[in-house]
Amino acid sequence: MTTHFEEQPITNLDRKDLVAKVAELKKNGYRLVQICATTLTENFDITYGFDKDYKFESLRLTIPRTDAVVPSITGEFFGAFSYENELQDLFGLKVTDLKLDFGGKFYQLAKKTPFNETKAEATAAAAVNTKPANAGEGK
Amino acid sequence: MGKQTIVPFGPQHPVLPEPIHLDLVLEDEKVVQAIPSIGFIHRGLERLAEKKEFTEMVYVGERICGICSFIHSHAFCHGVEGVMKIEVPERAQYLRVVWGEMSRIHSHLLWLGLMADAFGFENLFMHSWRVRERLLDLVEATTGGRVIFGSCKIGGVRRDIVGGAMAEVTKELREIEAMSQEITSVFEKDNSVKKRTVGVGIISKDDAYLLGAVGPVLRASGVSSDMRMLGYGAYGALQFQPIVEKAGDCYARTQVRCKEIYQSFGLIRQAIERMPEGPIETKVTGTPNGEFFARLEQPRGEVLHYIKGNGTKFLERYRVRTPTFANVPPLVHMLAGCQLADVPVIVLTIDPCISCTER
Amino acid sequence: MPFFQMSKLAIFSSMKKPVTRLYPFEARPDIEKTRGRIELQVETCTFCSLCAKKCPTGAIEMDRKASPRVFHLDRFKCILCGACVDGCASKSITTESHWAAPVDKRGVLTWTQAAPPPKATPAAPAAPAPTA
Repeated sequence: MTTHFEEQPITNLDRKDLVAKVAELKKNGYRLVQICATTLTENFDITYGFDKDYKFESLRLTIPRTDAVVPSITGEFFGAFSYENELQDLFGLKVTDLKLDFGGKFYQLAKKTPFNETKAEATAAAAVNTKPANAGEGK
Repeated sequence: MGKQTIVPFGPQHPVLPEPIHLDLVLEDEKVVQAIPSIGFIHRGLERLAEKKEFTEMVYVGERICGICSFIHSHAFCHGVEGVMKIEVPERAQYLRVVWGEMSRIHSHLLWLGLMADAFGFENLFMHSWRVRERLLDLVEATTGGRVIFGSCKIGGVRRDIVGGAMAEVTKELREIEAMSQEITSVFEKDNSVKKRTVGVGIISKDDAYLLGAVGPVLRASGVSSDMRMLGYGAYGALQFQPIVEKAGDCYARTQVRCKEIYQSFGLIRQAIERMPEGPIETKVTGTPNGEFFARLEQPRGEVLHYIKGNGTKFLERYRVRTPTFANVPPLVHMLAGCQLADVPVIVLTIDPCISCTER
Repeated sequence: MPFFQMSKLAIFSSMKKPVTRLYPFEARPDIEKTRGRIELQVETCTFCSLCAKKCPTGAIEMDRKASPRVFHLDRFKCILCGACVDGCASKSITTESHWAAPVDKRGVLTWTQAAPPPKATPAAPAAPAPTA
């Protein structure tokens, strides 16, 4: 019995086409599964996952970190408000037209936008914090 | 239009078992709106993937949550195996099913106890957990840990259940099944349980589907959707159907979970009968390069582990979307318009697991 | 009758003896496979440090060159996963089923092994006795 790994197509999109494509998926009976963002060196990769009858399809946006604005899909799927507020709170992305905007208070954290750094940036920041001259202070 | 007051509920509250914060906007005793907020136990486990090698991340994945820990580790292993296209031996797949279903039974028994506690039925709470103790002893005898099983690894499982132990497992499970019959029959028939759950927290089929509900919340509203039908692990070879109820209220969700307990006992028996002899692991060489979305069925619903590797020992992105996170919008929808005394019952009926949600 | 479901359960359980164990008069029997604590048979250990490499939390540290050789296990970092046991080549590190007693100070367990005598180097004319 071989292990079954299903096909999971990913479509790359432009941010201006996002809401129209999501509306089309909703009309065809898909439901929203997840919204996930990855911090890369110069861009954010945002993946939207949809499911219908156990078939999983994804849409992917790539937006520059200096212009991190995405349109909201809460007009089509109201349940997306939790994922989009999480994008705002953890990554510092700005989501426009959010139907239920918590204004940064959905995910209450001590450090603001903690996921807005890549591994290289995090290692560099940690190295600065533990320089020998500052042995007495810092976390 | 009465006067509106805002009552903060949680994260610490005697009747709330999970640290979620809800701001309840009340008019007299009726809840007009509920505003959730989370983040009290955020540990940043997804960033830990940058520091721990992918073979060591299994231990972190297990410890995302205590109740659903085995299926989290199974999902992580399935995700990495999907990226690297590793073939897991058959015996290991059947063993993963056996432990996954045991994990589901213990989670549902725990939830039944907490549900009874939510409407004040302490006696039934204690009896449910008494039955669960027998199951945890059985889990410890087969894996070595009561809560954190420590059994899954990339390419297979770490320990085996051999010969005589398998017969003991079957005998013990039969006794536990008889004991759980006493508990679930109370949940089905008792008048006081019905008075607190029938007609409370109703969500219609279309609302549940469009708001992104998963798991028993979705199945109790009439949508047949169970990720085990995808056929991962050994589920492709086992016979079962998702359990669906139509009413969409708290009573229907309780019935779905009670029936799933017996479905799990049946699945374990099928898996033990069909388990072939053979190796329990394959050797893993190389590093993951690529991405895969591993979707599994946890006791609470559909969990998604997104693994993205870039050819090094450290994963580029590890994202866990847990079922409770997907059930938060339906919760907000259900709470609008209910009575204040029904709030703990409705919060518990989605089976919240906030340590999963916040990773 | 719905009332009798729960009352049957309640009456029968009140007539049986309690399910809870009367600890400390009655101890819990140890289950064989429990990952209770990590033990080392230091006589057979070769100090190859495979266990230290496999430990996900970095709880094992050892010094092969010191005299005597030392093996440190930080109990507070150990998560009892058993990766060290799986990886040990000489089967000297094991899990025992009885839980270790609680401590009130941060505990690092240490085992020592006398350093082995230095190997005689072949064809080494009048070499000074090497210090271990």
